[in-house]
Amino acid sequence: MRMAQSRLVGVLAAIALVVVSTIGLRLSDPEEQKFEVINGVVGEPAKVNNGEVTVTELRVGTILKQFGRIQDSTDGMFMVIRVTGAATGPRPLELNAARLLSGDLRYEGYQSSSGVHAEPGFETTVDVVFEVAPAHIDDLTLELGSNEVLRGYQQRVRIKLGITPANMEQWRTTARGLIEPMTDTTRAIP
Amino acid sequence: MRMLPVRRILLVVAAVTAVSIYLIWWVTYAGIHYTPRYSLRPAGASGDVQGTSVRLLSLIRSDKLAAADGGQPGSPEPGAIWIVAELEAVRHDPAKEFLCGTELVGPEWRRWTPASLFTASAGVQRSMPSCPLDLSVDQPVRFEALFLVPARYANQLLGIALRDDSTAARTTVIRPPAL
Amino acid sequence: MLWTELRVLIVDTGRVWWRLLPIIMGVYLLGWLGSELSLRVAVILGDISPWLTLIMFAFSFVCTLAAAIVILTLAGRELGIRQLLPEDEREIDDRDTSIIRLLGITLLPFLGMYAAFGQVAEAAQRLITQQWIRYGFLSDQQTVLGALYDMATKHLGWLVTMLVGIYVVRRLLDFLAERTGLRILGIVVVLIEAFFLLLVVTGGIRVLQTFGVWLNDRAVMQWLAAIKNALADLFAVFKIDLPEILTRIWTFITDTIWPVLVDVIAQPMLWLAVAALVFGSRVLSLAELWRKGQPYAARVPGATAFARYREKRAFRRLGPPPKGVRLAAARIQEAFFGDIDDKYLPALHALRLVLRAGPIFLGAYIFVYSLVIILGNYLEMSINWLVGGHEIQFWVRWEPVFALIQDALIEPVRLCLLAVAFRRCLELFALRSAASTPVQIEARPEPQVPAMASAGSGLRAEAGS
Repeated sequence: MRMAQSRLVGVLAAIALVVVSTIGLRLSDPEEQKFEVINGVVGEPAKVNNGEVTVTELRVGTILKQFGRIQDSTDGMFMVIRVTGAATGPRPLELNAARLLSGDLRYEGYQSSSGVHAEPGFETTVDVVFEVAPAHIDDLTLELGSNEVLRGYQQRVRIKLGITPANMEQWRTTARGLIEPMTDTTRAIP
Repeated sequence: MRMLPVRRILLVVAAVTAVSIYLIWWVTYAGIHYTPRYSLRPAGASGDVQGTSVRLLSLIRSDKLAAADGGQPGSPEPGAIWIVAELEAVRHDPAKEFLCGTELVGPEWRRWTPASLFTASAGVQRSMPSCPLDLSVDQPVRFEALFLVPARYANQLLGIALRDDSTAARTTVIRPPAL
Repeated sequence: MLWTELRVLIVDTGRVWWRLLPIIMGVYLLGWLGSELSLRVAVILGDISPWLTLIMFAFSFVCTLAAAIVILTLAGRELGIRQLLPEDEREIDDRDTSIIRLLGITLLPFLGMYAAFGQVAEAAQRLITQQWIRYGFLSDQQTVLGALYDMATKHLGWLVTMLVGIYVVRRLLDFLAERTGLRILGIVVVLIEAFFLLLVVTGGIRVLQTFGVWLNDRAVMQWLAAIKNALADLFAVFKIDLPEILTRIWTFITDTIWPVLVDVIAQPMLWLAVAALVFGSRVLSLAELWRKGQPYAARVPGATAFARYREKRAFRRLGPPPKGVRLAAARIQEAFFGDIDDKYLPALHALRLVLRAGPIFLGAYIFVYSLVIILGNYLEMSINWLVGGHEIQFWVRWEPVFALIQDALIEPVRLCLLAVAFRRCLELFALRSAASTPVQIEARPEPQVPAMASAGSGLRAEAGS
């Protein structure tokens, strides 16, 4: 009887070990983090391999105006983020994939091609447009990366836009009215 | 398969050496092969790409782009100046086609693509045509390529790179004739 | 008891790895180098023909497997696995332990596992990446897998003919190799078999996929769907949401349970079975007999599950051996089925045997195996964190260096663990057959002493021989 009992305990312990192994494997899975994250804040340049990225301005609205006429209106919120990418090195700066992260939620860009591209020695300022749900803008973060066809461990920039539960209400109430993203501008790095 | 210690050590040393040689070879080879390499042609000489030989006649820097019809001249971006490259191309091989992959090469192998339609050059009519496709064989054709570069690099330009993505050979860089 | 198993596995693995570190590392590096060079040559051969690429691709796996087998053999020798056999069983037939033969036996389970756990696809992806970068995305150079999938879907007849042809050639060469005893023929046989298996595995997967798509279009699937819907309607009457329950259970199984089963449990078990094959079918047959309570093997050829096909048939047959036409028939039967029995069934038997080691040992083994994998994962993440993010050109250039650092640190440890675990299995079998004698043993002596003693005597015996 004692043998059977201690054997049962042994079997249960073995199963527990298998469960622990599973958890351990899931936690350490390298597939989870396939890129290097570079964190930044609004107003400060974030250094990447080929240059610097800065988010300078954040605007919200409910009606989108482009090329001189009203393009679209939304029940949610349009968010226009001004991003400046400077190619300080000898290679061009290519961050052509832009998205917004809020917890587990991912917002893709409103236009088909978003992101910055700058030739060496130039800095380009673009307005990236997103359509977001006002209920889900907690801790909104802009993520910029590059859409390589083949990719290894690449860099991605994540810039926190400073929207916290505290000022979320403020953002929501200001999000009323017209908003117009400007066209891309380029200038040489001063 | 039990070996004396001496032979074991020899095996290990041989293995480590072989692997090191392979890794060094591969890193060097990939560095050469997979990153862009350039071959500079002598000043004024032509370069061959995609069955066409191309010559750089002049590289001129300018603050404004003259319009052929006398209209408003085009302005560059702030801090940048225009570079006008005058080129001449002669197609030799009817089977291949020159795809106009011209790029301006600057210091530290910086490369700039020709100014696109969305920049200030739009709306400025130029007298010289831009790069033509499907040239007739053995007919020299002159064209120009416009570039915007930051002013600080204007004096350190090397030449025009003739880009060809279909081969892994070095990219030819043609230079303007010596003054 | 669980604690004993854990301690034995961890401590002995560490000890074997440390003692044999130089030689294991040397062998591993050579195998790695062979595999890398084959892949590089494979990319270059793509200029000539995608089939040559596939042959070199198969060869790269053979290199890795050969190195693994040598390391396992070395570790087994260090652990004194042979010492666990009774005195009169210790003579080992040279043919049974030659690398070529071991390669032949383990090639199928090894390639099968590599394919099932995605490593073949990973290596193929590396190959494709190299080819794309070499030829450019816009070129119409056909990649290896592209050619293979083409053949599987458009020219299925060709594929089958080629597979049969390769099989026949391989059996011929096998026969020649056995007759002449030429080593080089054995190597050629292994190469052809690796190529053959890779074709079967990758082409087969594609054929299955095509078949699945074809099946979906058949009327049968429409009927089945209609039946399923009718059943759902029926159950709706009873307010049971049948499809929802089914889909929920199904997603639970596929998302949570299946990855667990495959990664955590099946992988270590199958690898242990492969190690079992490497250590010799004779050892395995003895283990089986121990299980039945007979500590000494009756030296009757053909009596155990691991005997050669020819011997088994001779064992089962009543009367004199066949002559004339029946002899020819027997030979043909042997030619086709002997292969299955000689090479493929031992893998299954080994797995069966390993499973009999008991849940406590298996739980401990799975845990330690997962520890090694987790260590490898953290190593990979640390390297990524140290190096930082870069574009694909950087990674293509430096990838062999980083891959080598990771693999050279983890793979030998994993192989040592396999040897230690298998030895523990044998010890457990021996203990059980000893314990199944009529005297009931209340507290079994913890088998630490035999572990160290055998290792010690192993060294002494080897030094003396």
